[in-house]
Amino acid sequence: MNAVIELTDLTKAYDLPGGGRLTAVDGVSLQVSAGETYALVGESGCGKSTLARMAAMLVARDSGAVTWSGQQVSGLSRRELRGIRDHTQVVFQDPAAALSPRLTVAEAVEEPLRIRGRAGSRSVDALLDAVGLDRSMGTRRPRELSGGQRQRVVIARAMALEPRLLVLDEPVASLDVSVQAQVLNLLADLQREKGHAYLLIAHDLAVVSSVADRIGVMYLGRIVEEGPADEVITRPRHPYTQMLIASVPVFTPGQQVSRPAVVGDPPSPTESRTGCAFADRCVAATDVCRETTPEPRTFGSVLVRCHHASGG
Amino acid sequence: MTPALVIEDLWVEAGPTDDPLVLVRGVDLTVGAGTVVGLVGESGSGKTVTCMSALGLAGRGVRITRGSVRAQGTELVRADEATMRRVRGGVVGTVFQDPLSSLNPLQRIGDQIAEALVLHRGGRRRAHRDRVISLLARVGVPAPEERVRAYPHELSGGLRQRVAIAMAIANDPAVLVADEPTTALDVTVQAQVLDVVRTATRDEGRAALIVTHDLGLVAEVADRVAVMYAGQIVEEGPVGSVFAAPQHPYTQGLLASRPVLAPGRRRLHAMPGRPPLPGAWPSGCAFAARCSNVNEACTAPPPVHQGDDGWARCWRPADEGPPDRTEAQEGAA
Amino acid sequence: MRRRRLDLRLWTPAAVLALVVLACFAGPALLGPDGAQQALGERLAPPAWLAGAVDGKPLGTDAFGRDMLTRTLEGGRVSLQVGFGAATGAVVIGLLLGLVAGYWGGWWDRAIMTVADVWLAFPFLVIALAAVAVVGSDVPVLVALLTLGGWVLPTRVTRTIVQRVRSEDYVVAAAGAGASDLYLVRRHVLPQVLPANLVVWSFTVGALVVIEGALSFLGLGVKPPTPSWGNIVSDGTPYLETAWWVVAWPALMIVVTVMCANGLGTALRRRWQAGSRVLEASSELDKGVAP
Repeated sequence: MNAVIELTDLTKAYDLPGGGRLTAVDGVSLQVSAGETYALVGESGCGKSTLARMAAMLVARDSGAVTWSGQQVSGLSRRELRGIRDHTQVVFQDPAAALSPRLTVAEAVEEPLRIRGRAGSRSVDALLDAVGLDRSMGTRRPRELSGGQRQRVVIARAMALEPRLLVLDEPVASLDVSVQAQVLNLLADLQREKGHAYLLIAHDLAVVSSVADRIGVMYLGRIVEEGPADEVITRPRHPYTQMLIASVPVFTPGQQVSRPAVVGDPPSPTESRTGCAFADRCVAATDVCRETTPEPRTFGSVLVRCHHASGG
Repeated sequence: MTPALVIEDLWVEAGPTDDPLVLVRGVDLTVGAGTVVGLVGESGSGKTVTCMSALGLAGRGVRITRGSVRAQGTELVRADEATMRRVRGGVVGTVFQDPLSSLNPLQRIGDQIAEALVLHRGGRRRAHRDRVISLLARVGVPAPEERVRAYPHELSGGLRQRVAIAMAIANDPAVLVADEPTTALDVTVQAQVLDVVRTATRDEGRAALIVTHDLGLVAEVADRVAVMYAGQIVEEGPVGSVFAAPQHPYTQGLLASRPVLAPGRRRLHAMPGRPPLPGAWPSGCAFAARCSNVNEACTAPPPVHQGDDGWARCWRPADEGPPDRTEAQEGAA
Repeated sequence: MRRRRLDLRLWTPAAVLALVVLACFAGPALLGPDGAQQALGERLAPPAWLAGAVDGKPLGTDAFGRDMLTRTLEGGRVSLQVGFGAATGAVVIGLLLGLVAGYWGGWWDRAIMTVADVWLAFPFLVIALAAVAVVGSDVPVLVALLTLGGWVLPTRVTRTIVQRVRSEDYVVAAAGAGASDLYLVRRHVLPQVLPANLVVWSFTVGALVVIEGALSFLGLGVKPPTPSWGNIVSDGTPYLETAWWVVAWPALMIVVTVMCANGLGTALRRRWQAGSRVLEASSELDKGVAP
């Protein structure tokens, strides 16, 4: 089995303090192969961050399975899990919060190795080199570094255990545009060199289109469209995907492109609903959409959850 | 006709007076009525400080040391409180990045907008109710007669930002200043709020200064763009020509590094290094260290090179177009 | 960060406090045994700069002719033991309970916080009086009692910090690398929790010195002949109009000790908060939100 990670029917819901339930992830399945970048896109409240943490086994699932390189990890005890944590590592969105202010760069990068008793076996210097940081950075503290540099440190730390899967939660969202490009290129280079699989969480479709092999579009805890990146970008079949693409600013100024209407705001995941979750905002919604939850349909290599999706 | 907003040779610094940190050095910016100017830049460029201190809204310890800011002819630098109060909201409306913090969580939105009206036009809140409702309708708030009674937390981010825009234009100011108005919003919502910004500015003949790091926003909504780097404007001109044929190497690099929605994995064009922070600006051209076009002349501060309509602060502005994008699209090379 | 000159707002109260402790524990021995002896012929003698003073007893004497300087310093022993001891006890308990409540949450959290809330509802002084009546009032008992009076604040403070740190990305990352809870607590949580507790400890010392003084003043603390600032003040109260010095010195010591404890706490808190603000400021700069 080539899949570095496989998620099967994952579900996660939270009880709200005032009663009611918040369904963050609603039966999601996906898989990522070695050397592949799978990008999960969606807006706030769609559950992509929760899903990412479940994939990294940092958040417990309610139901469903998580499989790392063929081994089912979702049923393991905490101690058993600790032993294989080097399989999957996470790069977080906010580099300032992802680094302890009390540790130097070298200490932060080395920490995963120390935790597993492998300190010194892989030189911190080599890791810093790999992410394009000068070795002298090792003695500095996070507050002395720029955002881009901090994110490189976070990446170096994630690489320390030589993981097979890297979960990247909005890795460039808080960086300047010119730095974003540097970090994205770095991630691509590292992937080509080491063959990591990437599960990338992002909201910026333009970024995703430049780095992803496959794209999964999430809405209210479900994947509504999934397929090869080029397919999804050029021929979006789900109305929500079409809306996302329509929202990306056009870069030829002055050229008013006619776009399908963008309607409404991302809803809160706490309201319970029947039928298609997107029906309220969908310009093409009909009665069947509000009554029945759409089943996944396949068009070639693309999977869509919509009653009205067509083949072309 | 007096341009609506004129910033002239603005210098801003912060910190102790005997060892100040210069944040903005000599910014000149003009916004004419009915024009939207986008002020773009990255961290440390000084774009937010320029905008905030021009309106007297910069924090303690940040001060204007030179230059002038005139809104509809009224000088704002070192103006007294009464003048500032009249100008803020009356002549210049502001919209900030985070609507959650610019709206009072304990007050209904209708009341907040009404208060803005009362401040400048007098009268009682009730008397302005009709205008409040029409303002909400203008910014695209659905069912405004009911929404008037809503509290900020009952609204989504996009709606809150629309309310903030409504408050900003309530007194029909000649100028609208917006600082990262769509950054905190989801992408689909950004698009909608952008439409509102467009209506509130261009369609109504209002001058607007939009400060942002988002080039896409500028491309969609602005007429002119000014690019800031290391406390200065390094290029200015009509959005169409600057984006199609940027003269300054930084602008070229910035445009080239922005990911484009297109199929195919590709390597992004990345400028080496990063922008220098205040206090670390070199004496010559601030971009020299990262420029692929650099030569010995660049150790001296570059002159302003005038074009037909716009200018660039560079010794060797490009006469050809932006860097060849085909190389970047060759796939993951 | 530049190394600035010594922060006097922190080191002055710390030094004075240390001086007080030293004087109270070592002083009486240096002064000699005479001071503690009764000398009925020298009753209520005024301090050295007033007429009628007695040699060798520079701060005056009390109703039994005992040297006020020696007496006051000796009295400090009890007050400081109780104050420091109980504050330390309270903080240690608070650290442990706060850690359990904040880190493991769930049932433990609810249980501990419920006990804390209920505890706060009781009027502590009343309970203390009742307890003293039953169990007696020597120093160990007082320390235990006052520890029970002060454990809630450090528990709350610790719990809040632990909850925050636990969800920070770098702790999650360490957990993601396979760190055990023990490692996370030792390496990441404790270093963040200790500074706050040091602050709480300082303030608690001050508060408990006052409470001990109050109990002893009421006759419910340490019993004579063992001196404590509280009971020295109490003994001297009948003579207040004619021999003010019998009350003034122990009272002054309480004031000085409490002010130093509070001053130290304030300085520590300022320093600890300043450190976290630097990091916030630099990360804001980065996002292009500030200049």
